[in-house]
Amino acid sequence: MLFRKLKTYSFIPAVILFLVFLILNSLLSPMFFTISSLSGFFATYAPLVVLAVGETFVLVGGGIDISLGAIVSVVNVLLVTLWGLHWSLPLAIVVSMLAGTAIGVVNGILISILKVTPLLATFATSAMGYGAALWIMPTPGGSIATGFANWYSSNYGWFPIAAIFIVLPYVIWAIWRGTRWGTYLFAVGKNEEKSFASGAPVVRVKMLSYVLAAFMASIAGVILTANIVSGDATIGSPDTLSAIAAPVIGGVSLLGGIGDAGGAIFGALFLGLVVNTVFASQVSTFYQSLLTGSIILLGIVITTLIKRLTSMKLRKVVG
Amino acid sequence: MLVCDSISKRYGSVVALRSANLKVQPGEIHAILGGNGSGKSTLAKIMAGTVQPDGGTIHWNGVPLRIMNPVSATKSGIAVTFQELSLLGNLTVAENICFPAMPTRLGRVQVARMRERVHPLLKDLELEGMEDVLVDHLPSGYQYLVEYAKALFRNPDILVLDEITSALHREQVTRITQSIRALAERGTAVLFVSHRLPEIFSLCDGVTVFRNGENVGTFRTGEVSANQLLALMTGDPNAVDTTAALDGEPYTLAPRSASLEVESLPVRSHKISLSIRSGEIVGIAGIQGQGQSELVRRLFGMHGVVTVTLNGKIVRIGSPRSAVRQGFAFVSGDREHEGTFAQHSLSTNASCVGQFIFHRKAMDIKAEFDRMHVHYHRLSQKMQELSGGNQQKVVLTRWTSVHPAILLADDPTKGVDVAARHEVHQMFVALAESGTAIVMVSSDEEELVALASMYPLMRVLVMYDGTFVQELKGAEVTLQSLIEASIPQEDNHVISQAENL
Repeated sequence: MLFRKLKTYSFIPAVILFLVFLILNSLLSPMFFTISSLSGFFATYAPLVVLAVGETFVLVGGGIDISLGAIVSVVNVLLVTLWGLHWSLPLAIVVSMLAGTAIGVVNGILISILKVTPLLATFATSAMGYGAALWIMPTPGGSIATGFANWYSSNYGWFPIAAIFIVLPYVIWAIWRGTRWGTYLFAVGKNEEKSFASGAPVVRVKMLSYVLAAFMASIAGVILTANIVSGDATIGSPDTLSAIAAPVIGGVSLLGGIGDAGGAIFGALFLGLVVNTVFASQVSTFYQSLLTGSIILLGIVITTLIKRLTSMKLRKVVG
Repeated sequence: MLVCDSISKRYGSVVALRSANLKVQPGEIHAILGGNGSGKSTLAKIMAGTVQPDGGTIHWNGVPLRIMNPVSATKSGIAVTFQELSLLGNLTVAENICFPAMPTRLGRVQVARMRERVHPLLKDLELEGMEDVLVDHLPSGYQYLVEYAKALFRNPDILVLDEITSALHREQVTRITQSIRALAERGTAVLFVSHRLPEIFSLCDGVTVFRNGENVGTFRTGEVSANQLLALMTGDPNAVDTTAALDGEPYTLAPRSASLEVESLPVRSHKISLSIRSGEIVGIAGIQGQGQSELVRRLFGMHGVVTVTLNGKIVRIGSPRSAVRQGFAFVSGDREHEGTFAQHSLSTNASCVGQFIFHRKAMDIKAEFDRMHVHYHRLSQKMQELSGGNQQKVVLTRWTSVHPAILLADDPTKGVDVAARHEVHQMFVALAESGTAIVMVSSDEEELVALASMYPLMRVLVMYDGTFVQELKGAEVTLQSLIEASIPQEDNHVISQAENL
């Protein structure tokens, strides 16, 4: 008897969307494939990519985290403030990342130990995070080491430095995925009770998924600061939903237990490309968001339909 | 020797185990026999560490075992297979078997070593080459074999098998029983939880009968008869005699027009045909998960559009709402999720169908509740405050008030105590007498036997893997005949609809 061994390729639609918009971009703005334009693109969207991979850890583990944008804000304002107090850059980065990751520890305790619903727990910590960021820095401003900012948006030969932060999250994911803890994460996301009955350390697995997500969000906060070279307590807020949408576009299931960070990365880059395309087409700023939303919707509807049709055919072949 | 001493467990007001005792020798295959709700599965879960007992001790060879969680159960040398399976569908067969201690090197899971380790086990069970298959892609029979392999992988001193054979084909049962015997010869104590007598007699050395959470007798299998065990299991010394009543009154049905005709309704991978007449009660029996629930849910429009013939007219059912409008009613045993609005008042629960689907004026709920013997304080009290039996009576009130033509029920007395269960049965009979046709799925054979003895127009269809394998009428409905029919002996046992129905 023959059984399907293949795992599902749920990330394919995101790759297709990414490629389509890559081509569209190069047609609309012939300058897109120049090194300076590419490094600008990566520098702008690497934070979203890192966030999307962070959210993937939580989604695969069967939870959801809507506090990642707030963590970005906290890390951003803390980093700029500490730099303004003449701290050394490495120390400021480490301390602000520790603060960001600490929010993940709180999320993890609330959700895995106190069994608070993930959406509500992270909703509350998110509000507290934005509040703390606003308290640290009531008005946008400040700065960061210019050497660091310049390094982030520079190129090493033809290689954009910011692209490291497209690859790094996948490396972290792949290492994690290859350990027992990676298997536990998928197991717990699929079914908590059965994982427990099979001997998985369920509490620690869930806890770690939120800590890892917050850690990734802290990285995103640092590189976002390098990109915008200032502090703003509300800077992370638009990224919260994008960080959830990107992995879902990339085939990560909101129900848990299914997905790969690769899909999340392509999902994030697709979202970035859409904004870029709209920007390049020189539409009035008043319509940009409307147009961006419509394009994303169209892309998702078309790929969903294609996926449904192809899976129906597959089923016919199998049956 | 494994000694379980006065183990007790309550869930709220329901006593699952009351002071249960059990002794099993190393190398012995010991059956735990009991009906649904006898406490046998709770005992298995306590051994597995997924449920904590309220009291009692477990010793192995004189050493007390402290089972706090599944990990400490494994450390104590206990492995358990679960009736509802402990497998994770998004992991491979090899990953599931090794879980949670997959072999690693420098922190990375070694897939090749994992395959190597599980290979001999899979070979024994004739599952070679399935190491990398995702469990979700396996048919359910194979999943049970993998669940068994997973337990064996832990090299247990004590192996608890909870209804492992219930979803298996005959040749798969043979494979597992051979393996169990080999294991027992090496000194493992095997607890074989089951409610199937033939398997117990052919496989087990000893047998303990559970009823209402208590050990009501332990025997060597050679020194006890099937009838004795049945009598103990049911608590009714006459349970045995029902087989002798086979030549009693023949089953007859008044020639009435068929009220529901269903043709080639897809259930699992098969197509089912069914004909039910007004005033008839049709019980659907069989081991759990053979498509019984899917059948009634499909008829109620819960799995997409179905077309049936109702009183000679072709009727299209696209949703539960349209089913209700056509005269269908549905009583679910899963009260919490499907049957009731737990947070809402009794009156809402009783009148929702009449009000929201038929737009009728509020009925006299008090009078209806009195008629149905519902025990309650106020009509405004929350549904969840009532006992399971009373909740089910409220649900029945909801339906009787709109006079359904067809009543579909899925294990309606699940978790309902004996007295209330009898009342629910009486209500079913009264409904049938008033002309309603009833289709009732039940995982409790005793319940079907009891109903058949109450109502002459009762027949039972036994389901296996999405088809009816046997029809039993009137006095043919006995505990033994039902249990026997539930496990097909041969594949050609599956009879065609045209011949028998």
